Amino acid sequence: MLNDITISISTVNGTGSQTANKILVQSLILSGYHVSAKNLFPSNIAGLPTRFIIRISKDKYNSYSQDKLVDLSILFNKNKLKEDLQNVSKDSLVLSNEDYKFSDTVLKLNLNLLKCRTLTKDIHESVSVRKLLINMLYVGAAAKMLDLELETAVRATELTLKNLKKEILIANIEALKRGYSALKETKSINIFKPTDLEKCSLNNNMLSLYDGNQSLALGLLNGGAQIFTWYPITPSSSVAENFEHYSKTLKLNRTVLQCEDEISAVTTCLGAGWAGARAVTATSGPGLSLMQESIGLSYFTENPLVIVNVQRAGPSTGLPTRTAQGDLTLSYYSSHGDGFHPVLLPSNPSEAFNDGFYSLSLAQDLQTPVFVLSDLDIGMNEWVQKPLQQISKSSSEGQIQIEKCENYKRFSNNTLISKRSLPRLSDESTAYFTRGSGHDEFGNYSEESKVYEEKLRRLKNKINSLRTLSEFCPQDVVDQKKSSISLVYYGSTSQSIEELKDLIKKDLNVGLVSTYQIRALPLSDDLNIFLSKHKFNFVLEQNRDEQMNRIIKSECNSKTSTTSVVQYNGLPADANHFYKQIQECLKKFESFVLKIGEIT
Amino acid sequence: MSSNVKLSKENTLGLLKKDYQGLASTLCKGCGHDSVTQALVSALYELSFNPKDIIKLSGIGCSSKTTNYFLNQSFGFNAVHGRMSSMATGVHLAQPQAKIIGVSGDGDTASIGLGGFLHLIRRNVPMLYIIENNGVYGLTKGQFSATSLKGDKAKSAGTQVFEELDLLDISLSAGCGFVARGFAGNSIELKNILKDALNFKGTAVVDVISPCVAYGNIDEFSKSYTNTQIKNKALNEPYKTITKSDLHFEAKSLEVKESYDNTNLHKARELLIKEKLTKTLHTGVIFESKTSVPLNEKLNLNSLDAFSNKPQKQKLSEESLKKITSEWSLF
Repeated sequence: MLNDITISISTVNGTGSQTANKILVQSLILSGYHVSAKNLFPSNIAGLPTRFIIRISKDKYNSYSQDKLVDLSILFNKNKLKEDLQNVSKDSLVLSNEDYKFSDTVLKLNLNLLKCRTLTKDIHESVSVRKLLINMLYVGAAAKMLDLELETAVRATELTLKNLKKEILIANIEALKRGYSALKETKSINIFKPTDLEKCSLNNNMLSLYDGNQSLALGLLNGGAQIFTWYPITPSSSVAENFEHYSKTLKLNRTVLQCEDEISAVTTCLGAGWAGARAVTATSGPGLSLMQESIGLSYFTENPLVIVNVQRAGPSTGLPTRTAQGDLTLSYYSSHGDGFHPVLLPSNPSEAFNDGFYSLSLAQDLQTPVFVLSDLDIGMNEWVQKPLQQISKSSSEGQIQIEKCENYKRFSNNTLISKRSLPRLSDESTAYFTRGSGHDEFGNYSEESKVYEEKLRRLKNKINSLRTLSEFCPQDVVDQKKSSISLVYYGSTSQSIEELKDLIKKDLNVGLVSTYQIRALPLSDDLNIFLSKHKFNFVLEQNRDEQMNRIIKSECNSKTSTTSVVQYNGLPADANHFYKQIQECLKKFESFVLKIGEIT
Repeated sequence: MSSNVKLSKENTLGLLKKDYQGLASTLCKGCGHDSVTQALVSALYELSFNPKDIIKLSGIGCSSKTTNYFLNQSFGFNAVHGRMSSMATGVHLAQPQAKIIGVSGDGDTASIGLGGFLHLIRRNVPMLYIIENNGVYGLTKGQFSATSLKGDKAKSAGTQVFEELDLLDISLSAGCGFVARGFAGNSIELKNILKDALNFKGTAVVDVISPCVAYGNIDEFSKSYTNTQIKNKALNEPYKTITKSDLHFEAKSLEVKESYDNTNLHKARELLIKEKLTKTLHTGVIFESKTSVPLNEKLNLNSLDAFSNKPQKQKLSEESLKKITSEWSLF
């Protein structure tokens, strides 16, 4: 009986397979399985290979695994048959199109072929529709091989395609049914069966499937964002597009402006924020590089600005459709001169919704640039999540000086944050001239050393004040008193943690592992205490340069030791990838192994 | 409105001219920019603009400093180099009712900010966009800007080998609805041009030749006071005999005796081409569209004023939230 199954679907991008793959995922979920899915797609519109990986796990693991053998390989890209067989063994089942030509290597495998042309021939008169129906054939056949009920797959099709024309829906269901019954003598996968309890809890949770760019856009609307400025860039474009779509659907009358570049997007956003609107911009690494100067302007002139960064693999153009956490330091230390900024680190689409909401309030309160640092895995992969819940807190407007105020100090050093006056809304007595050059408490031009020093000191204290805020404290800390190992992580790495913990416990014979999810930067004060309790603190992240580990080392007590564990291959967080490095590290400490023996 | 209003007289808002002044200028004595500032102060005063409704914007450079030298009662934002256009767009999105006055220079507009400038015009953000154009980077000590002419010689920059970028020609190409040229040496005409520009509904570009006394006022430099005076011809004004010649400009210039129709785009472009051939400069409103649709009307922004309507106070209703999230449900 297989308790952990990997399905790989290889297609050509631009052939509509994405929707079909979603139907297969939904069929599995409706059947009671715990499923996670990742779409590995090329930076191209049509014609290049794309792979969709589905994992079905009895242990409810979500981690992606690069090296794991594929149990069911669906080959629908005739040009990449050789490459797609890399993780296929003689035990794997292979499903493909009879119209392709196969090498002897492929023919020796457990090959199941669908007569795609014949099977779809009389379903629909349109050639283009028939091409799309081929995808439904493999969904049907895969459902059969996974021993799913046909009715469940039909229901999943109806739910996913509910907005299509009736005749198209009927054609899709017909193709699904034909695929389901096409393979007469096929083997099925020896898959575990979900228990009644699992099915029951599934139904109670009423799970949803959405990506982080959808939920983040909704979170921003929920936080009251009025103006959204942007420049198209993968993988963040759909944040802006969803924002506009939802705003129209809900008749919210918010403004979306596609700018001429990211410099304009961020500066327009800052202008709107200075003039009193709640404004946000979204981008990815290359765009964030361009935005640097105006981020410094926002910081130094103390005006609200929200920047969403959906990270992709850099440097330079890098891998535009692959995931990474490589913009952490660029975001945190954005712009020239001194400065560091609040960075919210959602670890899944549900947290992205919360952070979208919260970022706007925080920017108003702090009068400073605030980052929401998502990534391609969170932003563009659909995650199985519990339905979103409305946030109980209300959003903050920040402190605004409306009334007349003699001797008004826009940048008083007697307090961390002064009331902000707004053009046209505030009394004329509070009018001031905003400048990125040195200025005193009134905003007047100043090159005085003391004035400059005091301003910089206050800005530092202002951002440091966040370290004790509840939103900056970790939400998910498991502090095991007797454990000498801890895992410190953030963002989409979270999905590998459960499996990684089990791997460490099982293989290294360790009873307990502590975990700490960093929710935001600057680091919360209690991380220091947490780290000091564990002999081995592993900091997990998806970049080469140990960016979070470096920040920890610079901000935490020098006595605490941390070891960096990284993944930078553009693929979603992989528990096995992290585990190998942890294993290597611990091997070096023989005394440690003895100590583990004592504890367990 | 009379242009001969005395300093001490109140305008229709009950304000004096000094109510439109700003801090004392720190620019060089004789700088063209200070004349532009004074012309602008007069224009605003005579048109009785309420300082509270005005937002002043600028980029970086000597010209951009001048927003501090007028309208002390108004809010202003001195942005980063070349980004005044983006800043103005954002301010307008948030406050479509505000009157935006932007002061930029030739470096700020024709080089680092050229992209943003074109897109500001393309979107037709309603604002007065003044370019204090002197052909050099004053604050960094006299390098050539992109509006200096081929063959120009400047005090510290040597000889210009590249052709100029004509910001008026560029503005017309980008679809600008109001294009004018003024000269800092002719403040009464400039004031009248600025008044027209302030009344325009859309992006109004006023390119003011505003000589730099420190780095761009020698005889071999085309944007010096003297050279500008020589080649300057006011639109719709009688031809004045030009007597002095110099290295760059022929003494004989095109005569503009007939009345000039500035609502004709074709004529406007023709005029700018002729200027190049005849090495003349015309001041006045070169083009004014009668069909300008500003950004707030294109995007229907008027209901969105950041202050009249405050969605930030409200979270989405449960019903709204459900409307979107129910689409994501797997059941």
